Amino acid sequence: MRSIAWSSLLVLWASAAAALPAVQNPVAFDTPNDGGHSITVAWNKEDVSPEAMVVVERVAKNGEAVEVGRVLALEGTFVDGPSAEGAEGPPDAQPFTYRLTTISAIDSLQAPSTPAVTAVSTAHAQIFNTDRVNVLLLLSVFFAFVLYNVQRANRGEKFHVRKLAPVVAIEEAIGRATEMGRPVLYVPGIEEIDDIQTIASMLILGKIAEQTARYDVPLRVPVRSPFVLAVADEVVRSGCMQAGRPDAYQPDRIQFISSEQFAYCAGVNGIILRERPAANLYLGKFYAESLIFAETGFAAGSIQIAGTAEVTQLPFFIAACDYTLIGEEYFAAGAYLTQDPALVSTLTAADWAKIMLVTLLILGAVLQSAGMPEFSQWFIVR
Amino acid sequence: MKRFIPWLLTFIAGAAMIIDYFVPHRVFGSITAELKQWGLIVVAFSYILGVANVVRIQGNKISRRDPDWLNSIVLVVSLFTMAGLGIFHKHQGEGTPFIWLFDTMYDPLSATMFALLAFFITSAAYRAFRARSTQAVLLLTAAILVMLGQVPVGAAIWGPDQLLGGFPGIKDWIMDVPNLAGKRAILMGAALGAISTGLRVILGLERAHLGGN
Amino acid sequence: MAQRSLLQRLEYVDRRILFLILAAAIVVPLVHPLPLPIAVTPMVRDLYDEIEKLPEHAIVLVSVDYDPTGKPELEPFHIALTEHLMRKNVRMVIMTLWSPAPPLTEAVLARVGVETKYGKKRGVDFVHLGFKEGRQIVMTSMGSSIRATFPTDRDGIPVDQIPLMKEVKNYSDVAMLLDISAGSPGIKEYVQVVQSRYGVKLGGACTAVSGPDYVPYYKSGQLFGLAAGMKGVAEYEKLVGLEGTATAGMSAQSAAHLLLIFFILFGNVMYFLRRRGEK
Repeated sequence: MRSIAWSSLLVLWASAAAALPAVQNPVAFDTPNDGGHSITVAWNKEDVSPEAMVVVERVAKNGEAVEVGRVLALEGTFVDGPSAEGAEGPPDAQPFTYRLTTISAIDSLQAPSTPAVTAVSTAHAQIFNTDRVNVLLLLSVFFAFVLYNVQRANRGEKFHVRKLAPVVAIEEAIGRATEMGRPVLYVPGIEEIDDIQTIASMLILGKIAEQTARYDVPLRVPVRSPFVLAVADEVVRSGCMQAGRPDAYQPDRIQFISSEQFAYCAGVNGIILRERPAANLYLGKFYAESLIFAETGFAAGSIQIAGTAEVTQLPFFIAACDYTLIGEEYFAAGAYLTQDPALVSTLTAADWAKIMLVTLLILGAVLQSAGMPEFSQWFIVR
Repeated sequence: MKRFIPWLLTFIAGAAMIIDYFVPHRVFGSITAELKQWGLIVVAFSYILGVANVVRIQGNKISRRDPDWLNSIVLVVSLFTMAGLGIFHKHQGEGTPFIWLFDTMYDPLSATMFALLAFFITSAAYRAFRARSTQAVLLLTAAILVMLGQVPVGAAIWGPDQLLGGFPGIKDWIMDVPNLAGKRAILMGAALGAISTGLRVILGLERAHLGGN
Repeated sequence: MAQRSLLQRLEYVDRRILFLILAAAIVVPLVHPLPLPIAVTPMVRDLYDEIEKLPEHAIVLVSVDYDPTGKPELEPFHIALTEHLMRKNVRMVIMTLWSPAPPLTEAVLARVGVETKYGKKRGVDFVHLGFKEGRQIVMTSMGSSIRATFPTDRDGIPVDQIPLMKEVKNYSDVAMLLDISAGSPGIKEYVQVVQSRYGVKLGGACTAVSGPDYVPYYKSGQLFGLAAGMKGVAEYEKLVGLEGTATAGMSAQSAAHLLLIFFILFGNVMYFLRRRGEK
């Protein structure tokens, strides 16, 4: 009997000795800067086995425990929150503790650790993401510049904008088209309507439609997206109305080609080669097809004016087109064409913002080089 | 009114998206997620509009026997064949008619259009890189140096283990220093222009895209 | 007058003639590759040398992160790298963060003849763990335990039953990490998440478009070597002693670039001659 008791004790002791150690210093806290239903659990990840896995259980006030996930112990944290698999996360404003049990990731026979338990925590939704204070501050400053300059414009102040040769050339191109009796081709880029470059293109298209209607020049607008078709159609129609020429609006001239990039490219090339427009305007976001358009337009003898903020396509347009609006010049073109003081004033605001940015850049570079990275660290966007 | 309501919707949606970036609260997040879903659904339905536009315009060309009206027939037949196969027949997996058409027609045609770039770069470079001004000389010099640095022949003429790293070293410097600096400067300016345009649209300073009178 | 009009005609050659000459310049070298000297840049030399220093039976982790669109530039490197490692008798643990990559990997293993020509045994001399979704999470998870991140290999065999994997726990058990990267997730993420945190030796190959973005990592020492674009891969092929598709492609690319430079210079000469004639 005594030997059986000793053997049992030995077995118990051996199995206890083989159990994995529990994680140290477990804590649970509301996940910061989130939309609620999320609690983060953390533990000390030093001195844990690389093959240890932590089983995380959420324990409610009534003692009901639910396993919410498993993670390698070396990770050191686990977020109990909404997941792509449909997990809801802990409800807000309810107290929970978390039970962390260490098991082996590869040896299912090894005994688990005794559970480590965290203190009580509750989940809450935050109203403001404090990691983005830097973005809010900079945007607010820029908005203030814009609003202040619009106020100045409303008070009658004049703003100087340097001459944009490509924009001046647009009027000359339309005049050329009138003399030659050939159409103007307007390609508004290949992106969807939610791209800011496409929106800017629609703004310019309205002015172009007005001018071409006034001079009785046919305007062709092939588009890649049906949504852009709807907007372009309305913009051209209202441009013709603005010019007092509703009869100039021809819905067949605004045409959806294809949503496939190179099918659209082939379609536009076909229009250029068949109809031989006097002027081609490429204003929007482009990708690889930019040079194909420009070269085909050159072969057709068209005067070509391009504008894009797509840096990779600018060299092709600059090489192959007669005039190119580069980057922010493209966004300024819409305001420039109207000469509306309120719109032109926003260009001044953008210039002020640029001066501010350059100053911050120089300051950041100097401080970083002097071994003070805190200033530039503040600008990191999380 | 015809412009006011579209502007109001633009303002509400634009402001909501900006605020969404700063407010993580899930109630607000679910509203903006819903708005984004609506946007996706509207864009998806707009493809019906696109097909109708294609059929109408090509149909008019066919009925009027406009020049190249036979091409319009090819276009319409291709459109309905591909769409029909995709909707009413198996459209996934090797050997299906849809995939066969995709592999034998669409893919090579796309690749052909893409391949045109090589030829057009040649004709554009031949035409455009003329030393008409100081900037043009800088442009063509940089182009020649980068092209030489990019291929083995350039390295054979002036190798990377020689003075200044040879053509490859000069190419690397051009790409890493002036090219990258210019690219970043354009990006920053364009970003400011984009924010400015977005703000003009949201505040209603620009309303040309809304149409109306 | 006749001379001037000839100069004008030469200055503005019909572009169809340019296209024909370019087509010939690309096709002929592809059919008959030119024996061009390929000068090896330090970046590729360092990549090769580090791999060359590996002792026999060392274990390397190969992350295959490209898809069919990256194949023309990166598959030649994958083939050359596999050949190099097989000749060195180095063992490979292969995984990927890109879902289209596993069949491409198997195709390369078959093409190089890892099991047939080199007589290597799957599970002993090399293992293909397959694809895992998770991007940076997978990268950090491997820092803790590669075996726990990939509990089975690509064929579903439990990692516990794979002899090679008994020697590999995490990054500290591999001599180096080699990434064949067509984009994201790829080299950039490995540098940011793995190299700085775990100190593992990192090298690899990337597409020409991404090359300039990764060169600063090489210069800072975070990458021990990099083969960027078809040119970099051709250099690596040369060092390994292979004449692969990258080397053949270099002939065509060289011919095209030289032709372009000739056209530019020719056009400028005609331009200046015409201007002088007009004066």
